[in-house]
Amino acid sequence: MKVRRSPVVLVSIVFHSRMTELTSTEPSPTPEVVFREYAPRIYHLARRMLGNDSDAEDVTQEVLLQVVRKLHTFRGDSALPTWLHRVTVNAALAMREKRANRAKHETSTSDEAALDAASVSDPNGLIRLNRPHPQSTPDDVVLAEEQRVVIETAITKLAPSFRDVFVLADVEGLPNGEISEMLELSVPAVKSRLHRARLQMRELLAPHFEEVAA
Amino acid sequence: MTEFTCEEIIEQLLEFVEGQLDEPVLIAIQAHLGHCPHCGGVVATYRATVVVTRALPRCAPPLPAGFEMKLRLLLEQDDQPK
Repeated sequence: MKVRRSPVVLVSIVFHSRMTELTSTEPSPTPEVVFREYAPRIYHLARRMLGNDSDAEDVTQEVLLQVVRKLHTFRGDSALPTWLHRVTVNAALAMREKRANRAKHETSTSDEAALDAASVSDPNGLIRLNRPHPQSTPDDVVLAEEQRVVIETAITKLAPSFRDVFVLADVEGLPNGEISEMLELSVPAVKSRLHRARLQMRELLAPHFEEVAA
Repeated sequence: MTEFTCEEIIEQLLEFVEGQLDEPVLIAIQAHLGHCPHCGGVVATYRATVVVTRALPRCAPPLPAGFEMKLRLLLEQDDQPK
């Protein structure tokens, strides 16, 4: 069995590494800037990986506390997003191990309520997703709240090992090589899991696309 | 020209939608899609799944209000001189 570094150890290693390469002229980000810019991102990444609010809050709390405690040693924030990804992913994986006996695929009360409300408002009981034009990019797509909830809920239905890769690749937009390092998988394994995850997501979302198929 | 079965087409979808296939394979897949509505539908919804997922906001909606307050309080307390 692989031994995963704890988030705290990883924080120390990365900070030490950053300290050796930064110049003293770069200002440290303030706790308020870190909070405002990164707390929602940490929370949503953890929530998508873990599939529930409570664990995502614990992970966000743990990661933010570590960041803020070390801010005085951290100058400049150019590498902060990459670094936070790694620490958050590790903290989320550690949390999952800790909660291994927890009920699977738990969804949040708020999302279920929104999904129910949206289903009721749709005459067919199905929220429609406009199938993007084949040449569309994600920037061309604007999701309504209930559409976002449909996709988020589908993500929670993926098996955790598929969900991790899917969230990091298709939500966070990380390259396969970076995901492979974070999850300690080979690149072919990342691609294989991503493909399986997309096929499952397609099955879950296809009925929503079908509704508007011409 | 190589001819693929529907199963072989599905196995190569990731590389296909990301434009990572060599030209002969690409041409063979496009030829298959030209006469197979089933695979055409799968490709369209696979591609659509990727596009709508990538359109998800990475840091929205905002943190739940109660959690944001809890987090701010925790950070303030942590900032107090021990």
